[in-house]
Amino acid sequence: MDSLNDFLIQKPRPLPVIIAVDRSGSMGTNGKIDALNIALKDFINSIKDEDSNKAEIHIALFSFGGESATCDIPLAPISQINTQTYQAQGRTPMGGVFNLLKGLIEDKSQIPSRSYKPTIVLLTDGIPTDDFLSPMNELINDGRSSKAFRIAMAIGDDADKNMLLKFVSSPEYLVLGDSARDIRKFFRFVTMSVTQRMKSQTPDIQQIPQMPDDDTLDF
Amino acid sequence: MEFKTTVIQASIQGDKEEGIPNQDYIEIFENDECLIAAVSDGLGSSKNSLEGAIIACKSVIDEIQKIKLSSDLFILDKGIKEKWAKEVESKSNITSDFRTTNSFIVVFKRDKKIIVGQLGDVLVSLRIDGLFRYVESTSKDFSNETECLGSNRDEKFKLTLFEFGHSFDFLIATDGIGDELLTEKIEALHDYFKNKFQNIEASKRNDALKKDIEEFVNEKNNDDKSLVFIWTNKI
Repeated sequence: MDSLNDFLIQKPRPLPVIIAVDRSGSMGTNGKIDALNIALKDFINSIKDEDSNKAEIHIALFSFGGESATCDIPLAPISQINTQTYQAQGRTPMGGVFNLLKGLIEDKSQIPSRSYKPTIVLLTDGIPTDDFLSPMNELINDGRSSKAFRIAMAIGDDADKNMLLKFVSSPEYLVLGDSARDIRKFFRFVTMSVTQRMKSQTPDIQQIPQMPDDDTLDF
Repeated sequence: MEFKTTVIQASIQGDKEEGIPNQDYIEIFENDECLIAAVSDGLGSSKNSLEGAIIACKSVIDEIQKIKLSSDLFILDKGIKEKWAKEVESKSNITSDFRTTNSFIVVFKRDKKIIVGQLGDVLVSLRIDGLFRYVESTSKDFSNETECLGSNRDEKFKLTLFEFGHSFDFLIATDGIGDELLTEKIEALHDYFKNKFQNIEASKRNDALKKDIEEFVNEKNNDDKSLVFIWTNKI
């Protein structure tokens, strides 16, 4: 062993970003699912370009729709992530996705204690159709998962804004959107939030970026 | 049996906003009775944490000199925490502004006993008579989270008493270093430090250690980084 470097973990500390998106039938209206697919692709590509010796963004992607919630991309460094395309169909099993998120965050083999606190990003346009209350309370109030930063977007009038207000870490982290266009805006907000953390001298203090103006969007 | 020890130590400031000092603190104390190494990591989110870190190291040294080895170790935990709180409260009503971790090792020379104390996520590893022990840091959920003095949760020092026969070496490192170490290589790191630094002139050892940390660990995270390594010399 020739240097102190031989005893060090060579990878930067992970900064997990865990995304859970709604792919229920209602997301198929007014171009929302298409906007979501584009926004996810842009999001992944834009943060792939971010680089830091001190933090490495890790992404996991979950979705809920049809009859169940699924883990579509297991947690992995951003460099290994390929985008996912969703079809809208079925119900809104949000409680199921809360259980999956909880399972991931409590698992120290997937998110070691060396990691920075995870950010959870939730996007939905509807009301949960399964038993969501107990899984949500366990996610946000109990154990390790309670320490994650939680950001959410409510799309349209049908989204359960009261429930989402309870879900987010603080009210500023609930973004309200009216249209498909706002989904892309939301993911730009998430990009700014994550990259600010990554570049920050204190990555464990979540900063609230300004929502981007419409005219800065590149359609 | 007489023995001599070598101490190397270094503390470097992390990449922080201007005006925020290095909030780690190391204090070594030695007399005929005992050798004490105490390391504190003041919490970055507490504005007077350097002061809290200094008070913690001094409280450890004061209280250890009062303790009888036949006493229950919880008396030491209580004594250090009360001493720290009293000193802090004489300066401010807001003890959370002084939050700090603290870990220490004390070697009682005549009794050939060692007490290891740990409150928070400062790494402690030791090898006594050739047997390596890694004292896992108090469990934490994520980076930069820790138990500490000043948390108002009455968190306790993890205290362990060991005996030694002929030799020991030990390492204390704040999380800026400890979180970056490969756990399975920590014993080999003890050998690295001994082999490398025993061949460096005594007056230059600490500077060489500081250079090592700056060169290899500083880019890993923004935390302050402090390390003490002590080993017994063959006589």
